[in-house]
Amino acid sequence: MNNPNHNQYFEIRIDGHLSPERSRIFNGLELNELANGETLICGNFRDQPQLFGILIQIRDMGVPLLSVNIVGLITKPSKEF
Amino acid sequence: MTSSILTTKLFIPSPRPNYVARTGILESLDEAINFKLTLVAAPPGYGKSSLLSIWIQEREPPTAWLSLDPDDNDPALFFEYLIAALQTLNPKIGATSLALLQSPQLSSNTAILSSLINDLTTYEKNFVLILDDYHSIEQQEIHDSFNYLIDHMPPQMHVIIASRSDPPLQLSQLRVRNHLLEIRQSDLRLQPEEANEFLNHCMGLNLSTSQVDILESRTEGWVAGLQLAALSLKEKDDVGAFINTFSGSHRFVIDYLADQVIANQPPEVKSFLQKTAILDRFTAQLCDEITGRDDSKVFLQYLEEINLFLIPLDDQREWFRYHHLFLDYLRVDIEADIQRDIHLKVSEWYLEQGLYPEAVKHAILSEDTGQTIEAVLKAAPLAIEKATFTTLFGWFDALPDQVVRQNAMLSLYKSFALFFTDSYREALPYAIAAKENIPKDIPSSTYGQLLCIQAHISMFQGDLKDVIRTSRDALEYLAEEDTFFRSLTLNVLGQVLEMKGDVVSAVDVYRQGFDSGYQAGEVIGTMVVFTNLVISLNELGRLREAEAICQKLYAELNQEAMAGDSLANTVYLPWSHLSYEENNLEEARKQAQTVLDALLKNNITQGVVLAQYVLAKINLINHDWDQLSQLVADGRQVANRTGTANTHGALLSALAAEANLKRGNSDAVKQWVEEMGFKPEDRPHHWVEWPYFTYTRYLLSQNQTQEAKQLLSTMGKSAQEGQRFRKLLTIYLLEALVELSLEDHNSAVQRLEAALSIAAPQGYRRAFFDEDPAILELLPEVRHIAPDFVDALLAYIDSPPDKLFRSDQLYEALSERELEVLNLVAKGYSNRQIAEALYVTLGTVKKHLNNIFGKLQVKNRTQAVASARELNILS
Repeated sequence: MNNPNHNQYFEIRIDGHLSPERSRIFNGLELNELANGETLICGNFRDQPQLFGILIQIRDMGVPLLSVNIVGLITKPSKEF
Repeated sequence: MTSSILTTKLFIPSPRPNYVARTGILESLDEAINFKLTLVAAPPGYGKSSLLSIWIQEREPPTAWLSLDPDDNDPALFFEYLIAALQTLNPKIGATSLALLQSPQLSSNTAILSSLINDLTTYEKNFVLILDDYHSIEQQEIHDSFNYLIDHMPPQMHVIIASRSDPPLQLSQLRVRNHLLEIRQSDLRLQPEEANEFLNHCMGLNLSTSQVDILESRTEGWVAGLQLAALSLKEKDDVGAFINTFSGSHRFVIDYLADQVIANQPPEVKSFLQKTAILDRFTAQLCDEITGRDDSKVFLQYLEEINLFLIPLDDQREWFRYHHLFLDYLRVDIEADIQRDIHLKVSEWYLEQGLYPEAVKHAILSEDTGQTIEAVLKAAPLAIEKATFTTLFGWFDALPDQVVRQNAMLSLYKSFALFFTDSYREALPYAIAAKENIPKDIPSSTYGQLLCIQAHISMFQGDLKDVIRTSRDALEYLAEEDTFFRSLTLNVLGQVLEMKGDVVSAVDVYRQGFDSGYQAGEVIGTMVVFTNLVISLNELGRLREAEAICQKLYAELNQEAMAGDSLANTVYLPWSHLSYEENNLEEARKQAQTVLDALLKNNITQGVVLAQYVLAKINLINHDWDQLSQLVADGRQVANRTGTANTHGALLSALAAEANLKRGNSDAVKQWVEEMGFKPEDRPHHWVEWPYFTYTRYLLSQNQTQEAKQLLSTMGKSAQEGQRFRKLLTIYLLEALVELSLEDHNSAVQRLEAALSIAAPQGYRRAFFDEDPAILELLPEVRHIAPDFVDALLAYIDSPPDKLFRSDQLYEALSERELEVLNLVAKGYSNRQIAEALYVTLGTVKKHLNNIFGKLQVKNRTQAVASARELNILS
């Protein structure tokens, strides 16, 4: 019995450093600029729609997406509602 | 003015002057006419749209172009735009589909698409449909429809999709079957020599090869990045230093370069860009409105001249938008309250311009409830007319429900939207709220529409009295030209009158509905009321009049629109019943089969049972017991699903009982009678008289003559009172049989005379053959009543048509075009000769041939010709 609102910690790695204004769309998430020119976007995602919302934003900016990782315990979305 | 938004969506963007000539990739794209689907997939700024527009300019294929945006996630709107795009090829395409879109009773996505595909089949040349920005579409229903279109489109049609991500279509199947051409990010990436041409020639810079290489590798051949780099460089004195800093930076390319470019602009240009970036599309006037300037036109000209990602959306350079990438960059910098303020201004401007859906969109973004109410009130009527219910519900969802219920007109529109999407129960509270708060100055026709909705809800709740009262009131209020609501109202009123046994009044009502729709040219919209009218006329024994109406409607229908399995074939539904009555059995079978195919293909259940009924009756005549029981089983399932088990379901189960009666299985019939609960003292409703006739025949077979007589007398009185002469005809025939079994010859002859006086003037022949043949033996004695008619009946008995049709070889009727092709095949023409003779492509001929083989169930040309000769369908 998973709580569908259970937060999941994600790490999204993209290529390039974003301007500070740009970071506003990632409101509530942590942006870490890495020395190798990549950016690590980390944070608790409420659910899958929020995750996909961010991924589509990244797609529409044309920023190359390098990886998406779940950190910690993997809780699959519950199938029994 | 409203149409200008549509124009911008259909506008094929013109390539900017001095574009890079990319021969290789253009040649790859030429292959598109060998594939069903071409996917151009890459992130924004890779030049997807530019590539397609250059290709179209250079190769000039017949093209339908549609630019999609997130507002198009409404199937009705999507179809409307899709049809509008295809109509740029030929304005005749999609006329029926558009009518279907606006006819909620009949429309299903497959129906709309089938009709559209029929029209496209007639387009004789190869053509491309381009859907730009397909990633904007998120609705599964639209993806499903698009898959269907790709599966069924004619061979001359080719689809090109430009998208930022792979669309959720059946790509892997298409790939396996070699129907998919892909042009992807790596193909679109500018090569070093192309980057050189772009920077040094198109953008007029003077860079060394190594400088070009650095920019090329830093932007990874990304056209948008190179363009911004060129714009930044134009203003720089020290080119080398700039390139070095840029290549050393980790900043995201667009952010870095756009900062540079914007930093070079004067402050008023910066401010102009930021304010106007709120808008998805704009005109100079709209820019004036939100910037408070009066010279936006000059700004736009300037931005276009310096190539600052301003994209014209029409030939007149009236509408523009910014490139998506640039837009995103500009937007992130604007405060939320400023954004809301601008959206409010924009909404007001759109309202003034009469562009209501746009006004609603911005009103919602402004989070101003008052403005949203005002805009929705303006936009809702057109949304209802166009059946864009997804969009409409989205608007209602943006308002608190309390607000909707307190506003009479909002409640009214919401009840309409729910009603047309078959949510009667949900519609009721809004209809009540609307009626309670109705303003005095409401247009009377709108009040009439509200009453029409109420009548339908009462019908759903089984309150027949209220249906009659409210629908009659509705007709008083509805405007003459509001044919759509008038025919809806008349149809529901007619159904109630029929239910109450007053078929005469029902016919008058149906006829008004049919006439007003017919005169307004809304043929498809009249189909439901047309079917009810013809069947009711037949019930009244007015066969000739019913037939005349079928022919009148048929003459009106576009023959091209009837091809394939178009819904226009519904005209055959009641017609097949008439053909049966006239004993034109082959005609009846063809008509019923045609309409059944069309209905099933379009996923429409309404009418299916009535078509199966005719086919089953013919099976009964032919003693095709297996097919009969199959049809009865299928039909009863449909009837159960559609809630007509007691009426339509009973019609079919009665035919199964007739079959058992004919085969002497009286136990099975007895069981059926018990299941139905039939008693001789019953007073049957006229909708179940046919099953009661079967019951009467069973009583006669069991020598329960008095019981049969009693039942016939009850039904006879009811039919006479209701002037339902068709039933009276069969009642007289059955009464003649009763008299025969009572050995009262004279009374039997009298009854037969009465039957003839109904049947002969109208041509009801079949009724005589469907009874015990003993009836036919009396015919010579009553010849004087109608000599010609009786002679025709007797002639049919003596020599039933020698070429009795074979219902075991049901073949689907060939279209006119297919017959033309088949005739040429019979003359020995080759495929190429046929293509030349008919002015079509070789592919089209092959497609026709495949259809012909399928329909005739043959494997090759020789067999097809042989089968055609046998069926006697060659001219």
